[in-house]
Amino acid sequence: MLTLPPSIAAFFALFPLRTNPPIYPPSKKPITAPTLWIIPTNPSHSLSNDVECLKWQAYLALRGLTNIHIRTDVHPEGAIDGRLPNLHVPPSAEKKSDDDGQLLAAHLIPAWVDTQTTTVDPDLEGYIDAAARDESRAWVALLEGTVHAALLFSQPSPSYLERFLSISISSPLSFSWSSDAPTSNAASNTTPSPSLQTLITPPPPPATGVTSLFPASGVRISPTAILTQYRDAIAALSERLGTDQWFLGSSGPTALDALAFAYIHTLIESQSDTLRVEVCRRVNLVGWEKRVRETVDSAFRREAR
Amino acid sequence: MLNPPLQNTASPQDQEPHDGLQKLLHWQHQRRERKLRGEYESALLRLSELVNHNIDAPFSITSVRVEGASNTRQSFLASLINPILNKPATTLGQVIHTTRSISDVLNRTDIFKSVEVRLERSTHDLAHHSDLDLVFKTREHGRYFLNTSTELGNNEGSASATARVRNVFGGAEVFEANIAAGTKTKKSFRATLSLPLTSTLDTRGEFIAYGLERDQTSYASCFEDLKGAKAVIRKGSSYTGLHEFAYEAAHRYIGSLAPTASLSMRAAAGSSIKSALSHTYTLDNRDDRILASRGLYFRFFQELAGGRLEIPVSSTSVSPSTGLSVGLGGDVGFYKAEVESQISRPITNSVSLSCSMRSGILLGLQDKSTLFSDRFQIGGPTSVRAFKVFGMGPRDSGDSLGGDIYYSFGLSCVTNIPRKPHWPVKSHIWLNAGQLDSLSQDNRLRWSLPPSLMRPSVSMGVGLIYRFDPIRLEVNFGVPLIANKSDAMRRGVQIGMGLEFL
Amino acid sequence: MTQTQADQVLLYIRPGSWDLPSIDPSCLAAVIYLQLTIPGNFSIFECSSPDLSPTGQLPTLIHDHHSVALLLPIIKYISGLDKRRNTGFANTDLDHGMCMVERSKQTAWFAHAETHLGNLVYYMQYSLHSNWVGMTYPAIALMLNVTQRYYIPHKIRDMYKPRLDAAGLWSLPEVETESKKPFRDITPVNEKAANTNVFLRAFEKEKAIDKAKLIFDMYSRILNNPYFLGRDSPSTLDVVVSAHILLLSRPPYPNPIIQQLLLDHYAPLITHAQQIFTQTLGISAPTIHKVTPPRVPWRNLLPSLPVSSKNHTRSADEKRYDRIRWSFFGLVAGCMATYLAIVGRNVEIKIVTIDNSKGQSEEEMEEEDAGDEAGVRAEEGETTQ
Repeated sequence: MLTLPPSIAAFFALFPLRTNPPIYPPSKKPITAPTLWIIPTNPSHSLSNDVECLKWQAYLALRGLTNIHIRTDVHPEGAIDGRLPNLHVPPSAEKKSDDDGQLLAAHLIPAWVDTQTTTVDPDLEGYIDAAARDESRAWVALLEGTVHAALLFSQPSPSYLERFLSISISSPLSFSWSSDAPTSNAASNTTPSPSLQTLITPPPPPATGVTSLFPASGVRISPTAILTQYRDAIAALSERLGTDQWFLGSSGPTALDALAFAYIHTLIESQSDTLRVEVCRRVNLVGWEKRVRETVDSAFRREAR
Repeated sequence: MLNPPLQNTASPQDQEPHDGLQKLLHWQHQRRERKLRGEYESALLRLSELVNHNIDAPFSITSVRVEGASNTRQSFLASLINPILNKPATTLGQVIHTTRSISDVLNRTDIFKSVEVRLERSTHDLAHHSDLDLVFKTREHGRYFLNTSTELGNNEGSASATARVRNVFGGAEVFEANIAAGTKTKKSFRATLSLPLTSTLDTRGEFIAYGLERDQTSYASCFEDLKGAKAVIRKGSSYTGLHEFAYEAAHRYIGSLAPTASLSMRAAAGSSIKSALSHTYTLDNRDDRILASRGLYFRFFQELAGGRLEIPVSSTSVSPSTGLSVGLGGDVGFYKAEVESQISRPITNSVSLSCSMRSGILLGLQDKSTLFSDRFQIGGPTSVRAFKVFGMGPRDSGDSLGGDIYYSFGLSCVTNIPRKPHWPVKSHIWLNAGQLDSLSQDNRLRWSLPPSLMRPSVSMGVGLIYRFDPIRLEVNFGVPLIANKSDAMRRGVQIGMGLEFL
Repeated sequence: MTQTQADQVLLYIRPGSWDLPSIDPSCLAAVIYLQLTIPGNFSIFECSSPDLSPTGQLPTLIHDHHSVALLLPIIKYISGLDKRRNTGFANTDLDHGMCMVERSKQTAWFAHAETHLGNLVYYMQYSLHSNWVGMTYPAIALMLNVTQRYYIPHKIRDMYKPRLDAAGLWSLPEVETESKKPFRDITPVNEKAANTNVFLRAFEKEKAIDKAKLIFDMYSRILNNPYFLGRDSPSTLDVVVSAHILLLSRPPYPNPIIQQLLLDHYAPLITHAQQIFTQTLGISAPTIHKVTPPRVPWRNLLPSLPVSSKNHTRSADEKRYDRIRWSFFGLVAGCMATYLAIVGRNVEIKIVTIDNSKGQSEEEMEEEDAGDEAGVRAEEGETTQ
């Protein structure tokens, strides 16, 4: 880097001769309370329609935090790595008051929550024993795999116009003779959001077929297989909950409960009758969802805007 | 006196050189030319005499033939020529005038490489001897033009292709498509179909579809992806005043934010659809578009987007909330107006003064604030110099958010380089001022002017201008004199490249 | 065997290699499950690519005009067989006698095994470059015929990429970086990129091993007594886990990072898988009937339509692609028709009858179409010879 000779730097330091007060952005409000950015919600309550956002809403609420603001006007593209939710936390007390605070990606939320409330035992994570903790991993896999696949599958596919508009012309040409290209992709630390290709075992072949010479696109999946697995999963979930207060017999809410709530709530609100009926048939799940929903809903406040 | 045989008997006249064959040849050539010129001049004189004497002689046009226009529709040619023939030509003078008009309109279609006219006695059986046929012998331009280019180097490659079809449907329509893509640079496309709407050819319609991406990382930490379609009607020429009416529908998408993007930009991310009507008036009689020394440039642009108007239905049975809503649709509603003017005049032979002014206002017509994509940005080497590109107005941690109201003013004194007036390089001294701020708007669509408009940012400096046709290149040394605390300044040397400068 | 051909249970799977009936964990698990429940009463059909399966997915089971895709639905179908009449099967439910809570736990573990153990197997087979080049690619290529060998393995690998990417297990290319461009000089930037490549790769392997350790630890903990979840006979979970462990431990991986970890530290898992293997796939186990697939190389080059569209409901995606296919064909046909219509305007097909005895008619013809004079003349010439 070139550095300016001191005489020139001194000359430049004279300017501007007069400084006017800064021009502030118009619609900016100072952040006062932790604010969760989520995908728009149903106007009647403060719970997001998006499973991923709802998971973190439930997590925050079930960890005992209250009075969290929510903000629904931010497009996912504006979030860190293009994925909501993000948690916007006010600056810590010793910093200046006009500071913007800090924006946290979803995976950093637990660490922030730990600074706010009593930490849970890192070994058992709130479950009754190690076996239950191990089992919780299995349930997470079931919810995030099988149930999520059914949810994705039931969502209507975007129209042709939407798809045309969403094709970003920014993506560079796919031909690549520079070996650096894959490096840059891998270096960026973003994982793609879950899709049917990532959730179904074994990964489904493209809809154009594998043997075809045409470029692969779409996925070929069997709807019956997805629904069979989904029914099994919901039946198992209901059976495992039984009449317990929380999943796996824990004494207090755990991360699994937050996750389960997010899925069960989304399924109950789902547009797809097939999915909804499966949950609504099970009284214990519906009752449990209702109870947890009240807790979660009361922890959030819509930001007045 | 007796001369020996083979003696030179030449008696040079008219200064005929007698030594050297080259000189002789040259002399003969000049003599021939002189003679021809004389003959031509006298023929011309005789012809014009003939025409002038017979200017009122009765002649009439029986038919007009256009030869060689094989790709052009007959109906199109008829629509051009018939209005001219509607005024019947009865004398030779009128016939010649008509001929000139037709040949002029044919030339203006830009279909033909050459147009030659011949007057012929009508071959019709019943024709009178004063009846004439007009025969236009034309040669059409090539219809297809295709240009592709690829560039490789420095671990990057790009390719672009341009295709142009003239006279697509045989009616002087022009279709042009351009597509460019690269490994690191972005893809863009643009397709235009332009066609004449009236027989005088001074009104043209244009349909445009485009898609491009703007890299705004340097001042707003984002990329903006634009896809849209536009229909334009254009009337007049910029020298006498050009009106342009347009409808545009565009999908804007702000995304690919930098990790350091400010909270305001994060809130601005996402997509919006603009549906807008606009009108532009341009008047430009400067002597040079890039580096004017005299003349006036004026441009007035206004745009109305969305703009939902609620018309209450005057019926007692319906509740007051229902009503007809009239609007252009789209996600955004705003009215935007922008004025741009430049006056240049020479002071002495080598010094000229140029004064320019730009101003704009953006009024949101919905109860939410205006969008980043629609707002104005100022600052930079082609705008208010000695500030960074779009570095003025409301800013949030390094991102320029743009403003709703602005003005900028520039005064330049341009001189030639001493003793080198013919060089394309000039020097200038300039003074710039400008301010950009957002309008605060209440719920009832009332706006209040921000007080900052009374305190412009000012900068001045000197620089060199290089007329690098078709663009202008400037190297300036400048400093800001007055600035807002939030402005991004650029003290010292700044390089500018562009078409329009303040 | 009393069953007719229609009643035969037919299982479509990915072909096997490395002494295992299938290279895919789900397919292998399906085979093991059938071996445990209805040994000798089923046949397998080896599909070199998923396109040959009636549902477009593997594994797929065909029985009694039913087609069932994917592992869990297959297991559910088979376990329900003994309750149906006239099937002649008994004890097809491996999990009989389990209480409901145990069953629900098993469902969860099943999903976990398919996801996480599956990721490890896919990582070893498709993601690690040396394993792909040295083992999986040749194995897949050998299953295919000559024309398909060159492009299908890569397409199959691409199917796994999104999943492994999402799991953070997609590995970087290892060779390729060198010797592709002889003219590229080593600039500091390139060097730096190459270095970060090395770091990232090393870091990645650590990450994969850490993940594998966590998963294996968990399965070691729930493997008490001879079988999982404290049972004394193999259950569905045993089948699924052992299928994955077999595919992790048995193939000759050129880069055996996870295999080594498994062999060194998780002997109980290996023993358990080995036990299942001996019981179902070993020498003493009942033999598996194979149905040889017909070879139709060229048909496959076209975008394939699933063979039987009646038996399974089709997803929206598939329907859309069908629509695209048909509109593509329609477009081609339309273009041809338009082209012929435009070109054909100038083509006149005339039947010229040549008859020497009727010279008059020839003359008439000449007068009528002056344009065809030459043609007629030529024909005249021919006939006069």
